[in-house]
Amino acid sequence: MDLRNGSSAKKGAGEVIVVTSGKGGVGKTTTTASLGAALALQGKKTLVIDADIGLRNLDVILGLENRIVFNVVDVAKGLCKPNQAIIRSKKSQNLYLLPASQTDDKDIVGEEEMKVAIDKYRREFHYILVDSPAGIEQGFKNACAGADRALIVTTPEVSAIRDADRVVGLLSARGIDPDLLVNRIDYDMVRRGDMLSIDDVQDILGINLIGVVERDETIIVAANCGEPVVYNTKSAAGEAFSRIARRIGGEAIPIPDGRSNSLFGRLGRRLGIG
Amino acid sequence: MFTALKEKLFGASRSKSVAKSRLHFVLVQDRAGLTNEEMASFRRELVDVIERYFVIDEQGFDIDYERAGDTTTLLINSPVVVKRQDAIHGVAGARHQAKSRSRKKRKDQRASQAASTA
Repeated sequence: MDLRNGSSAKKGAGEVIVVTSGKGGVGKTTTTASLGAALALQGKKTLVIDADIGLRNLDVILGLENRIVFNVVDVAKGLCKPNQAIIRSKKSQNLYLLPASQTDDKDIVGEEEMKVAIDKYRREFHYILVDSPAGIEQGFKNACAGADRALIVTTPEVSAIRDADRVVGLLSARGIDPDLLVNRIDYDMVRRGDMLSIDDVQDILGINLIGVVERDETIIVAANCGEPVVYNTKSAAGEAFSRIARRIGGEAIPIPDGRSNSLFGRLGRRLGIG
Repeated sequence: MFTALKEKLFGASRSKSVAKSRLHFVLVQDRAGLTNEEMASFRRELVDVIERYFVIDEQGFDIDYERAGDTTTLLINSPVVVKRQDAIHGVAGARHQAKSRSRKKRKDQRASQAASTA
């Protein structure tokens, strides 16, 4: 049965978006969990898939590690029914997780198997977010196999941007024009001239910017507790992820320019030094 | 605000510019798929060819790969030193059309910019 009622999905099938980066540790899993939770909060039935076979983590970020029975490899190999393997979030009716296998090697499934497995869920969800492993090998290829769109996560650092650039090239070769998410920006450092700005990053990578997330301690607190940061309405990062989720759905929400809103910041701008 | 004030007074820190130029260097090589040696010889040969027709300032000579959508553009920036009358004729008679590309930050002193789509 088709449980979706929104209009944003393509005819008869949910959209599959791969979240990838090339470099590890830039925030792919946090991004996948946060956007999944945000889309679910916005009424979109969303499935997040952990494609990092052997090194799963999306389950702990979502606080669902105790409820895993089957995983994505079981679905790909036909060892269980598709709906036996997905776990519903405690916090949302609309958010589901398909965990990775922790004991298998990432080469155990191929691209075609992965694509077939993902396609089994398309009809039931508005959005399917696939958390890609770091790197550009088999695990990355599997994660991209069934994707309609891609989101590249990067941080404003030389190594992360370099790897993101590789991934842009690989995705273009697959006919996917990815969107860019710049994570962990520190506007104070940008102002000091010690961090690449959003414009710099966008200029270098030359792809569409879908959002910016500030470096924010609430991300770590949320990860400690296994609760996606978007549930914390006081978190700047959580709010940023919510806005990005809306942009994914096609809403035109401006990206904040990151200027300080403190009294001194406003005063500074009045004086022309902000 | 105080950091901004400090910058105005004492000048900005520069690590961002270092990051940019290092990225620029690795990305040109990554995107072109050329080795260090190939890149160096590509550069040398280009300079040789351009010098046959123009007087150039080799210091500012720069090769870049730029991506917009699904097209990648090879950008060769070559500052031309126009001193003599014959050099001006050289520029006017050149078949290479100087094309101004979109990069805002490149609106600098570079005298000539030849672009070709790869």
